[in-house]
Amino acid sequence: MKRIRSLAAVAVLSIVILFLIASHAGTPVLYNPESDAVTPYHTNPAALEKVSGDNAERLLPIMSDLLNTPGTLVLNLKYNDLDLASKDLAKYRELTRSIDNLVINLDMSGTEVEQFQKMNQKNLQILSELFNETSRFEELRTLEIRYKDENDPAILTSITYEGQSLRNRVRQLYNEYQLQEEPLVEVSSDFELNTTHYEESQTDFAEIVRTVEQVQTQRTNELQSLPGSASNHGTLGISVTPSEGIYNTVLMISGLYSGADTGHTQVEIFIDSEKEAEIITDLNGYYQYSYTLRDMPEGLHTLFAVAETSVYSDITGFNVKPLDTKLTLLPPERSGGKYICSGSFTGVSGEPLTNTALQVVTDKKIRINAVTDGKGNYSAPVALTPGIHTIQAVFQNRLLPLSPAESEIYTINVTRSTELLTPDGSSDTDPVTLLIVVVIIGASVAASVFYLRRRKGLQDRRTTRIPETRDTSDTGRDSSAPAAAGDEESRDAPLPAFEDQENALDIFEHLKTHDFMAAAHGLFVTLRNNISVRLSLEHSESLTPRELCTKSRDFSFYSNLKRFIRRYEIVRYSGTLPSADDRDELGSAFSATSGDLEDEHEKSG
Amino acid sequence: MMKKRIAVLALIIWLVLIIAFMVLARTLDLEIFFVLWLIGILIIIELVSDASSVPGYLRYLRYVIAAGVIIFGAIVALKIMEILNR
Repeated sequence: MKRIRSLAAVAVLSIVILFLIASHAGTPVLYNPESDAVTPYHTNPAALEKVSGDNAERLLPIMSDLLNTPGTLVLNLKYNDLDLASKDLAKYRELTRSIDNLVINLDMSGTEVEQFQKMNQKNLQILSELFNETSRFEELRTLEIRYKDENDPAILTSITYEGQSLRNRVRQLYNEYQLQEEPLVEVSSDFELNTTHYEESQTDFAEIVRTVEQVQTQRTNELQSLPGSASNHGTLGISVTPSEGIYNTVLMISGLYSGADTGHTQVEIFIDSEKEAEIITDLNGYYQYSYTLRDMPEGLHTLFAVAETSVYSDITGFNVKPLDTKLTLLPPERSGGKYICSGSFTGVSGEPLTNTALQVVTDKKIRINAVTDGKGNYSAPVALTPGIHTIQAVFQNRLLPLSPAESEIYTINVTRSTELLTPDGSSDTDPVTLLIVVVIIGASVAASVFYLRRRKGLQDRRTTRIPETRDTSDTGRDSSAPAAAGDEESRDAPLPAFEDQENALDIFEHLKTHDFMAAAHGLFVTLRNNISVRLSLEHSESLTPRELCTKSRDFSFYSNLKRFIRRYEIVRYSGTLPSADDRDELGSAFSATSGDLEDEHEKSG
Repeated sequence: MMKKRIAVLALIIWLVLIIAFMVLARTLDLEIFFVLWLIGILIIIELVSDASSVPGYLRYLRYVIAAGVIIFGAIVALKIMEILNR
């Protein structure tokens, strides 16, 4: 009764434990510092220790370098040393990449370090562009000298106009760079960083702008005073309405060509010195072209036209203002093994922004590109591993006149079960993965079956070759043992009874060549019966060889019995066939023990 | 009987060691715990089981181990799916 109770208690306890374990099977990581945060506002500092150790020490020197490098870069641009400037720019790019990685590794999102990193990214973009514009401006200077010598007013006009475009761009860049100064210096002072070089770079940048403007003004004046600049082929007018706009605004560019042959003249329109369109004037020399503001950064842009007769229009321009945008992200939905992130990208007044590239960012690290469709909607599949993730849609493109936008952030807890199964519970993995899984599970099932069979085989092997004897007294454990496998002769032959010691030895001699196991067992049973009678032992059938030996410890036949039992165990349990000497030794040990038993009996009698 | 006690004691020590190291590493993972338990029990059974006889308390444990091997295969399969889904 007591045993049943304890078994029931163990069973109930086991079921409770199994239930508790099963409830955590979906997310087997019960605890780790990363999963410790119960709210997004709490981070276990222990989780940061692994990465923060060396990295935190590297942070301040990198920040200091990031403040110093623009100083030398802009200084080299000021002195037109483009080779050194190129090296500085590469170094600046490398440092920016380092701080990007550190901000991710140290999980410093939302901190001043992240602000510093973002401002540096923008500075890098501005300075990269400044490098390109300055290089092109230098090229124009070389071309200008060459074509001045050749006295080619058409080319010089083209150079001047392109220079004008570059001047606008450099000025625009300077304005952006200036806006960065105050917040960056403020953040840097919080870290007690020296900003002298960075502030000097602002001054040098201003000097670059001044130099470019001086050169460009001089170039324009020289063009106007150039003999033969007024073309003999006529004049070309140009105007643009409206003169400023935002994203998707349609500008009307028009003008009149007057000259000797005004009708059906080809006119090329250049925006920022790049050819935008070729149009043909009407019979009166009038041309018109509508241009939609899309793929261009905010700021001033130059515009001019050239007739096929190399007649240049005056240079004019238009201003592009940034459009405030709104980016939404719907709650991500699970589909096809991934999370579908969709939403819309519009202007503040709701007009859709079509064919625009944006990014879906998971955990502030991995970026997946998405493009808006004709209605301003976008959709991107995101693969997530088990754990807690954040998802956000982000738009930032300085080359478009659209203000940066970020959607709301969603936090998703991906458990293993949700990762591997669809909501309806069906597996949605590809066939190859499924095949691999089936193979692995099949292999594990085969391994467990093999294990079971192997252990069963071991038991079988251990219990084989223990033949049944006709000894009716030996009905204990051994009587249930199967007959020796493959030993047909011993199975068929009738086993003799070991009635007395003489008889037992005869039978042993007879059997030992055919079935030694059975013969040895017969001797043991004979001895066990005799000793049990002599010592009045109860339940003699259940005595093991060692138990028999222990019980005979105080008698004179003990030493010979021990000798017999030692050999008997080897023969009986090792499963190997003993040598001829061992067989004889077993027989002699039996005889000696029997002799001692007789003597013991006579003494007591 | 002695062997049985030693086996139980060895298994308990092994499991306590695993838990202790998991606590030190600040990560409690059921999967790792299960796999290490399986390894431990396999080794202990191989050491405890006699060359000549199989005690009663070990006879049915082999079914538990066989089930453990299948669960181990399932864990491996899940891990592979997890890696392939990345």
